[in-house]
Amino acid sequence: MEQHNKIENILNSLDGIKKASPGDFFFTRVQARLQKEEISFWGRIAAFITKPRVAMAMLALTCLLNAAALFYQRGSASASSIADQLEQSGNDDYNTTLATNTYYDENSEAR
Amino acid sequence: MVEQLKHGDENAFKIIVTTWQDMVYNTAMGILQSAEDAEDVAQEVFVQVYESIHTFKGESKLSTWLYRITTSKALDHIRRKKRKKRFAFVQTLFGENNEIIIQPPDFHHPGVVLDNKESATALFRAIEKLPGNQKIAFVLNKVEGLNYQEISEIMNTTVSSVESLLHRAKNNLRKWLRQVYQNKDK
Repeated sequence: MEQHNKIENILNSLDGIKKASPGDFFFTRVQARLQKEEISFWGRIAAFITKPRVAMAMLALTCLLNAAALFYQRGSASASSIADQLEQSGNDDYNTTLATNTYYDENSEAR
Repeated sequence: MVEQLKHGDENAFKIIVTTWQDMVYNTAMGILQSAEDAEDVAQEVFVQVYESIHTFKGESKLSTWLYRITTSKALDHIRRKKRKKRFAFVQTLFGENNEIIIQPPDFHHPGVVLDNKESATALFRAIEKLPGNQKIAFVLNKVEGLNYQEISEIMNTTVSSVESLLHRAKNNLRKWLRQVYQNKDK
Protein backbone atom coordinates (compact mmCIF):
# COMPACT_ATOMS: atom_id res chain seq x y z
CA MET A 1 0.00 0.00 0.00
CA GLU A 2 2.81 2.35 0.97
CA GLN A 3 4.63 1.49 -2.26
CA HIS A 4 1.45 2.13 -4.27
CA ASN A 5 1.10 5.58 -2.71
CA LYS A 6 4.74 6.36 -3.37
CA ILE A 7 4.36 5.45 -7.03
CA GLU A 8 1.19 7.52 -7.38
CA ASN A 9 3.01 10.47 -5.76
CA ILE A 10 5.82 10.11 -8.27
CA LEU A 11 3.34 10.00 -11.15
CA ASN A 12 1.80 13.24 -9.88
CA SER A 13 5.13 14.92 -9.18
CA LEU A 14 4.89 17.03 -12.34
CA ASP A 15 1.71 18.75 -11.15
CA GLY A 16 2.25 22.49 -10.98
CA ILE A 17 5.39 22.35 -13.12
CA LYS A 18 6.50 25.69 -14.55
CA LYS A 19 7.69 26.21 -18.10
CA ALA A 20 11.41 26.22 -18.77
CA SER A 21 12.84 29.10 -20.82
CA PRO A 22 15.69 28.91 -23.31
CA GLY A 23 17.61 31.83 -21.79
CA ASP A 24 18.37 35.32 -23.06
CA PHE A 25 19.12 36.23 -26.68
CA PHE A 26 17.47 33.10 -28.05
CA PHE A 27 16.32 34.96 -31.17
CA THR A 28 19.92 36.04 -31.88
CA ARG A 29 21.03 32.42 -31.67
CA VAL A 30 18.23 31.37 -34.04
CA GLN A 31 19.33 34.07 -36.49
CA ALA A 32 22.93 32.84 -36.31
CA ARG A 33 21.70 29.30 -36.94
CA LEU A 34 19.70 30.46 -39.94
CA GLN A 35 22.77 32.10 -41.46
CA LYS A 36 24.80 28.96 -40.84
CA GLU A 37 22.07 26.84 -42.48
CA GLU A 38 22.07 29.10 -45.54
CA ILE A 39 25.83 28.70 -45.89
CA SER A 40 25.61 24.95 -45.57
CA PHE A 41 23.00 24.69 -48.36
CA TRP A 42 25.22 22.34 -50.40
CA GLY A 43 25.89 20.35 -47.28
CA ARG A 44 22.17 19.80 -46.91
CA ILE A 45 21.90 18.70 -50.53
CA ALA A 46 24.69 16.20 -49.89
CA ALA A 47 22.92 15.02 -46.76
CA PHE A 48 19.68 14.61 -48.74
CA ILE A 49 21.36 12.59 -51.48
CA THR A 50 23.07 10.31 -48.98
CA LYS A 51 19.83 9.53 -47.15
CA PRO A 52 19.32 5.74 -47.44
CA ARG A 53 15.85 6.13 -48.97
CA VAL A 54 17.01 8.64 -51.58
CA ALA A 55 20.14 6.62 -52.34
CA MET A 56 18.08 3.44 -52.81
CA ALA A 57 15.57 5.25 -55.02
CA MET A 58 18.39 6.65 -57.17
CA LEU A 59 19.95 3.20 -57.44
CA ALA A 60 16.61 1.69 -58.46
CA LEU A 61 16.14 4.45 -61.05
CA THR A 62 19.61 3.85 -62.47
CA CYS A 63 18.92 0.09 -62.74
CA LEU A 64 15.57 0.81 -64.39
CA LEU A 65 17.15 3.18 -66.93
CA ASN A 66 19.87 0.64 -67.67
CA ALA A 67 17.32 -2.12 -68.17
CA ALA A 68 15.25 0.14 -70.43
CA ALA A 69 18.34 1.08 -72.47
CA LEU A 70 19.31 -2.58 -72.82
CA PHE A 71 15.79 -3.54 -73.87
CA TYR A 72 15.64 -0.70 -76.40
CA GLN A 73 19.06 -1.58 -77.77
CA ARG A 74 18.10 -5.25 -78.22
CA GLY A 75 14.87 -4.26 -79.95
CA SER A 76 16.65 -1.94 -82.35
CA ALA A 77 19.43 -4.51 -82.91
CA SER A 78 16.95 -7.20 -83.96
CA ALA A 79 15.08 -4.69 -86.13
CA SER A 80 18.32 -3.64 -87.83
CA SER A 81 19.36 -7.27 -88.40
CA ILE A 82 16.03 -7.89 -90.16
CA ALA A 83 16.66 -4.77 -92.22
CA ASP A 84 20.17 -6.03 -93.01
CA GLN A 85 18.80 -9.38 -94.07
CA LEU A 86 16.23 -7.72 -96.31
CA GLU A 87 18.90 -5.50 -97.76
CA GLN A 88 21.16 -8.49 -98.32
CA SER A 89 18.44 -10.51 -100.07
CA GLY A 90 17.65 -7.43 -102.17
CA ASN A 91 21.29 -7.22 -103.20
CA ASP A 92 21.34 -10.93 -104.07
CA ASP A 93 18.27 -10.50 -106.30
CA TYR A 94 19.93 -7.51 -107.95
CA ASN A 95 23.12 -9.48 -108.52
CA THR A 96 21.16 -12.40 -110.01
CA THR A 97 19.31 -10.02 -112.31
CA LEU A 98 22.58 -8.43 -113.31
CA ALA A 99 24.11 -11.82 -113.94
CA THR A 100 21.11 -12.91 -116.01
CA ASN A 101 21.16 -9.67 -117.97
CA THR A 102 24.85 -10.08 -118.64
CA TYR A 103 24.23 -13.63 -119.87
CA TYR A 104 21.53 -12.44 -122.26
CA ASP A 105 23.70 -9.52 -123.36
CA GLU A 106 26.60 -11.84 -124.16
CA ASN A 107 24.27 -14.13 -126.11
CA SER A 108 22.83 -11.26 -128.10
CA GLU A 109 26.32 -10.04 -128.96
CA ALA A 110 27.31 -13.51 -130.16
CA ARG A 111 24.35 -13.56 -132.55
CA MET B 1 1.76 37.59 -38.41
CA VAL B 2 2.05 34.40 -40.48
CA GLU B 3 1.14 36.31 -43.64
CA GLN B 4 3.76 38.94 -42.84
CA LEU B 5 6.38 36.23 -42.37
CA LYS B 6 5.34 34.66 -45.67
CA HIS B 7 6.24 37.98 -47.26
CA GLY B 8 9.70 37.82 -45.65
CA ASP B 9 9.08 40.23 -42.77
CA GLU B 10 11.99 39.72 -40.32
CA ASN B 11 10.15 41.53 -37.55
CA ALA B 12 7.20 39.12 -37.82
CA PHE B 13 9.66 36.23 -37.44
CA LYS B 14 11.12 37.84 -34.32
CA ILE B 15 7.65 38.20 -32.80
CA ILE B 16 6.81 34.55 -33.58
CA VAL B 17 10.08 33.34 -32.01
CA THR B 18 9.71 35.40 -28.85
CA THR B 19 6.04 34.45 -28.47
CA TRP B 20 6.50 30.69 -28.83
CA GLN B 21 10.09 30.04 -27.73
CA ASP B 22 9.15 28.92 -24.19
CA MET B 23 6.49 26.53 -25.46
CA VAL B 24 8.84 24.97 -28.03
CA TYR B 25 11.81 24.80 -25.65
CA ASN B 26 9.77 23.39 -22.75
CA THR B 27 8.23 20.66 -24.93
CA ALA B 28 11.64 19.72 -26.35
CA MET B 29 13.09 19.67 -22.85
CA GLY B 30 10.35 17.38 -21.57
CA ILE B 31 11.00 14.89 -24.36
CA LEU B 32 14.81 15.14 -24.55
CA GLN B 33 15.59 15.72 -20.87
CA SER B 34 18.63 17.85 -21.63
CA ALA B 35 18.94 21.63 -21.72
CA GLU B 36 21.54 21.58 -24.54
CA ASP B 37 19.54 19.20 -26.71
CA ALA B 38 16.35 21.18 -26.09
CA GLU B 39 18.09 24.41 -27.14
CA ASP B 40 19.42 22.72 -30.26
CA VAL B 41 16.01 21.32 -31.24
CA ALA B 42 14.22 24.60 -30.43
CA GLN B 43 16.58 26.44 -32.79
CA GLU B 44 16.01 23.77 -35.47
CA VAL B 45 12.24 24.21 -35.08
CA PHE B 46 12.36 27.95 -35.71
CA VAL B 47 14.74 27.53 -38.63
CA GLN B 48 12.20 25.15 -40.17
CA VAL B 49 9.37 27.60 -39.41
CA TYR B 50 11.29 30.32 -41.27
CA GLU B 51 12.05 28.09 -44.23
CA SER B 52 8.68 26.38 -44.59
CA ILE B 53 6.19 29.00 -43.44
CA HIS B 54 4.71 29.00 -46.98
CA THR B 55 3.54 25.39 -46.38
CA PHE B 56 1.48 26.48 -43.36
CA LYS B 57 -2.03 26.88 -44.72
CA GLY B 58 -3.71 27.91 -41.50
CA GLU B 59 -5.91 24.80 -41.31
CA SER B 60 -4.69 24.27 -37.75
CA LYS B 61 -3.54 26.72 -35.12
CA LEU B 62 0.04 28.00 -35.36
CA SER B 63 0.74 26.50 -31.92
CA THR B 64 -0.48 23.07 -33.12
CA TRP B 65 1.83 23.28 -36.13
CA LEU B 66 4.74 24.31 -33.88
CA TYR B 67 4.04 21.44 -31.46
CA ARG B 68 4.04 18.99 -34.41
CA ILE B 69 7.41 20.22 -35.68
CA THR B 70 8.87 20.20 -32.16
CA THR B 71 7.76 16.67 -31.30
CA SER B 72 8.92 15.19 -34.60
CA LYS B 73 12.29 16.99 -34.39
CA ALA B 74 12.73 15.85 -30.78
CA LEU B 75 12.05 12.22 -31.73
CA ASP B 76 14.48 12.52 -34.67
CA HIS B 77 17.08 13.89 -32.26
CA ILE B 78 16.62 10.91 -29.93
CA ARG B 79 17.01 8.50 -32.88
CA ARG B 80 20.18 10.27 -34.03
CA LYS B 81 21.61 10.14 -30.52
CA LYS B 82 20.83 6.44 -30.17
CA ARG B 83 22.50 5.74 -33.51
CA LYS B 84 25.60 7.66 -32.40
CA LYS B 85 25.66 5.80 -29.08
CA ARG B 86 25.39 2.44 -30.83
CA PHE B 87 28.18 3.40 -33.24
CA ALA B 88 30.40 4.55 -30.36
CA PHE B 89 29.71 1.27 -28.56
CA VAL B 90 30.68 -0.77 -31.64
CA GLN B 91 33.85 1.33 -31.96
CA THR B 92 34.81 0.58 -28.36
CA LEU B 93 34.27 -3.14 -29.04
CA PHE B 94 36.75 -3.01 -31.90
CA GLY B 95 39.14 -0.85 -29.89
CA GLU B 96 38.99 2.03 -32.37
CA ASN B 97 37.73 4.50 -29.82
CA ASN B 98 38.86 4.08 -26.25
CA GLU B 99 36.59 6.77 -24.84
CA ILE B 100 34.33 5.56 -22.08
CA ILE B 101 30.63 5.98 -22.85
CA ILE B 102 29.40 8.29 -20.10
CA GLN B 103 25.85 7.85 -18.95
CA PRO B 104 24.06 11.23 -18.73
CA PRO B 105 23.40 12.45 -15.19
CA ASP B 106 19.87 12.51 -13.75
CA PHE B 107 17.69 15.16 -15.31
CA HIS B 108 16.27 17.94 -13.15
CA HIS B 109 13.58 20.02 -14.83
CA PRO B 110 14.02 23.64 -13.70
CA GLY B 111 10.25 24.17 -13.43
CA VAL B 112 9.54 21.39 -10.93
CA VAL B 113 8.34 22.40 -7.46
CA LEU B 114 11.15 22.00 -4.92
CA ASP B 115 9.27 19.41 -2.80
CA ASN B 116 8.81 17.17 -5.84
CA LYS B 117 12.36 17.35 -7.21
CA GLU B 118 13.39 13.82 -6.22
CA SER B 119 10.15 12.21 -7.35
CA ALA B 120 10.20 14.13 -10.63
CA THR B 121 13.75 12.94 -11.32
CA ALA B 122 12.63 9.32 -10.85
CA LEU B 123 9.63 9.96 -13.08
CA PHE B 124 11.73 11.50 -15.87
CA ARG B 125 14.06 8.48 -15.69
CA ALA B 126 11.05 6.26 -16.34
CA ILE B 127 9.58 8.58 -19.03
CA GLU B 128 12.83 8.16 -20.98
CA LYS B 129 12.01 4.47 -21.46
CA LEU B 130 8.53 5.09 -22.93
CA PRO B 131 7.93 4.45 -26.65
CA GLY B 132 7.81 7.61 -28.83
CA ASN B 133 4.06 8.18 -29.07
CA GLN B 134 3.39 7.44 -25.39
CA LYS B 135 6.24 9.76 -24.42
CA ILE B 136 4.87 12.60 -26.54
CA ALA B 137 1.32 12.20 -25.22
CA PHE B 138 2.53 12.05 -21.61
CA VAL B 139 4.86 15.05 -21.92
CA LEU B 140 2.24 17.17 -23.68
CA ASN B 141 -0.27 16.29 -20.99
CA LYS B 142 1.90 16.52 -17.87
CA VAL B 143 4.68 18.96 -18.80
CA GLU B 144 2.79 21.24 -21.19
CA GLY B 145 -0.57 20.83 -19.43
CA LEU B 146 -2.55 20.21 -22.65
CA ASN B 147 -5.91 18.47 -22.62
CA TYR B 148 -6.77 15.32 -24.62
CA GLN B 149 -8.44 17.30 -27.43
CA GLU B 150 -5.37 19.49 -27.97
CA ILE B 151 -3.05 16.48 -27.88
CA SER B 152 -5.21 14.63 -30.43
CA GLU B 153 -4.97 17.61 -32.82
CA ILE B 154 -1.18 17.74 -32.46
CA MET B 155 -0.77 14.00 -32.89
CA ASN B 156 -3.33 13.84 -35.73
CA THR B 157 -5.39 11.21 -33.97
CA THR B 158 -8.63 10.77 -32.04
CA VAL B 159 -9.26 11.68 -28.43
CA SER B 160 -9.88 8.02 -27.55
CA SER B 161 -6.45 7.03 -28.96
CA VAL B 162 -4.85 9.72 -26.83
CA GLU B 163 -6.69 8.35 -23.79
CA SER B 164 -5.44 4.88 -24.64
CA LEU B 165 -1.87 6.13 -25.18
CA LEU B 166 -1.86 7.90 -21.81
CA HIS B 167 -3.39 4.89 -20.07
CA ARG B 168 -0.67 2.62 -21.47
CA ALA B 169 2.03 5.17 -20.65
CA LYS B 170 0.90 5.39 -17.01
CA ASN B 171 0.74 1.60 -16.70
CA ASN B 172 4.27 1.28 -18.09
CA LEU B 173 5.56 3.97 -15.75
CA ARG B 174 3.90 2.28 -12.75
CA LYS B 175 5.46 -1.06 -13.73
CA TRP B 176 8.97 0.39 -14.06
CA LEU B 177 8.71 2.45 -10.88
CA ARG B 178 7.52 -0.66 -8.99
CA GLN B 179 10.57 -2.55 -10.28
CA VAL B 180 12.85 0.26 -9.11
CA TYR B 181 11.37 0.14 -5.61
CA GLN B 182 11.48 -3.65 -5.46
CA ASN B 183 15.18 -3.58 -6.42
CA LYS B 184 15.84 -0.91 -3.79
CA ASP B 185 14.15 -2.99 -1.06
CA LYS B 186 16.28 -6.08 -1.86
